[in-house]
Amino acid sequence: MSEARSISTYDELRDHAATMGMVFFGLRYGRARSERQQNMNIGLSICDVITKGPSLSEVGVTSYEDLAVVEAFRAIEHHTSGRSGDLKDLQEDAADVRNILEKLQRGESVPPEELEKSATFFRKIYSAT
Amino acid sequence: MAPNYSYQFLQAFFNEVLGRYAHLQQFVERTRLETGHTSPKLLEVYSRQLDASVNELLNDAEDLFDAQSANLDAQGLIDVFHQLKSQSDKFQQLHRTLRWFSAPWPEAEVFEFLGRVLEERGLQRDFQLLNPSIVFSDEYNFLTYDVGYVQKGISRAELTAWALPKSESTNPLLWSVLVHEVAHSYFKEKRLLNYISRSLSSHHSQEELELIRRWAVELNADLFGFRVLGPAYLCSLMYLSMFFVSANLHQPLETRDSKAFHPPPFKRVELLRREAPPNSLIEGSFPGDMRHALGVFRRLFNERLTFDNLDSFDDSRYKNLLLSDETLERLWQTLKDFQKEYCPDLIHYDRDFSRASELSARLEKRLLAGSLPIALDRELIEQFVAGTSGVSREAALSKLNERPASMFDIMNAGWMNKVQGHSWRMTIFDALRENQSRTSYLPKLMNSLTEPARQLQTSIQVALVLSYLV
Repeated sequence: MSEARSISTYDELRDHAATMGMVFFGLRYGRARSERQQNMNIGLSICDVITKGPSLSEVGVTSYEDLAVVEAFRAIEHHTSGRSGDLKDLQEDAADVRNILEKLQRGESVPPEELEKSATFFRKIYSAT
Repeated sequence: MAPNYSYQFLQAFFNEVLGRYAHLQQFVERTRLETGHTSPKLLEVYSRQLDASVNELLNDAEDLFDAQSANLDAQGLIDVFHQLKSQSDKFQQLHRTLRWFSAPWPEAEVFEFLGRVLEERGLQRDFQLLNPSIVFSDEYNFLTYDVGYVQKGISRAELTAWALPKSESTNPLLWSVLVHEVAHSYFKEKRLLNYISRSLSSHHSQEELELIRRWAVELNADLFGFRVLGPAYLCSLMYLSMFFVSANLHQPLETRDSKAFHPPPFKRVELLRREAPPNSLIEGSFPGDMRHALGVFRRLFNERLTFDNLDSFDDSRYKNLLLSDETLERLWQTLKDFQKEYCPDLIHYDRDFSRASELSARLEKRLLAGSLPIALDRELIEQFVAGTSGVSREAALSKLNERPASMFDIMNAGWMNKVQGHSWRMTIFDALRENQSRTSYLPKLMNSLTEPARQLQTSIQVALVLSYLV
């Protein structure tokens, strides 16, 4: 569980997804800026919602942090209801995106296609309504 | 290279969101001044929140500028669009926090503005009879509030209030939206609905009738706004739609109580755009600069629609909340007929916009909110505003050797000037100051708002961003 952000509603998820979209826009086209690394925690929190949300929903939670993850997951589940493929796609991509974010956080270079993949992931979350 | 059309829209969007924050800062500063020497902690924290949002926005703006020469794809630009909409939503949340601030009543100037606009259209008496209150709204919206029935002897009409968002209290270009709110009070809804009932072609379900009622009331108010203010109203509607609405512009907009939906902004704008010359409700013709201004706005509006089209939009969700094209056409024609009967004496535009055009050229760096034209004699104007001139408005104007500009002229000149890129959300206070460039306005404003160490940095950043934008 990344410790930087607690997300529990779809509005928060959407807001953070927009921020991440802009971060990746900056990474692809903008000037190099060290503070972007700090933004990666926001993205990691979003990945947690997508990857851990389903299992935590099933087994139950033991902390308020986990409860927030479950609430955020249910919110996005609700917003993609009727389009179950959308959520499935997100779940498939979340682990890869998490790896990419961790690489960026460590200051490692990431190829353009991975940057694009991450941007697409956050774009889909923003547009999940 | 970035697709030029959408890049320009995003620049304009940044510009407007920044401007909104600047006006919000200005309102907070006014509140701070009223508190005297000891600012409440709430104000300090709120100001810091605004600063943080502005800084985030400036960082984003830098990324967009840096990308100008990059080989951008449309999807990349959508990320910027999403972030701007998100910042815009955040602004609205921050604006709602103003409910914790004790607020002044709007200045008499707002009332004076409306009074004069309607007087020019021959509705002075009607306006006096309406005589509602104008209040500041914590919600970023222009609304008509029905405060509700309190006790016998007080009619609901007496409890109607037109609301202006606090952050737009000093942005007269958007006061034009209040004319739409006036229509909600001026037209009797029962009479409107009776009239419309005659034109209904077939049986409708209860839900459809409710939808028609809702759209009729809103579109009727738009039509009135356009008849009263002309292109200035159309510009304000397009402006609010493309820069303030987060939802897809093809989508019906939920009202604040979430109980009903307004017509989609796209439809509202389209209906009014059709009324511009040559098929006009407006008599006469537009001068070249007015046509140019509307053309620029139309292009920006279409760019916004392009972004909306790239975003997924599930219109099946709104199937029952949209009128068919046929019903809408019939309704629109009926509303035009209704207004011809309801207010036949509404004065038509008997001018050729030359005065507005002339004023626009002179508004290079400032916008005047009142009826006073830009003066040749600035000293006299300042005395007049300060109430120390000892002369009446007419005498002041005659000294200036100018015929008074109408509010219609001023509002249209203001929009023409803004759209052509000559002004940047100027305020009424700027109009009365010495010459100052667009880029010095915001830094000066910021200087008065933030603590010393930070203000310089913010000012420089803002100046840099604006120098890119303009």
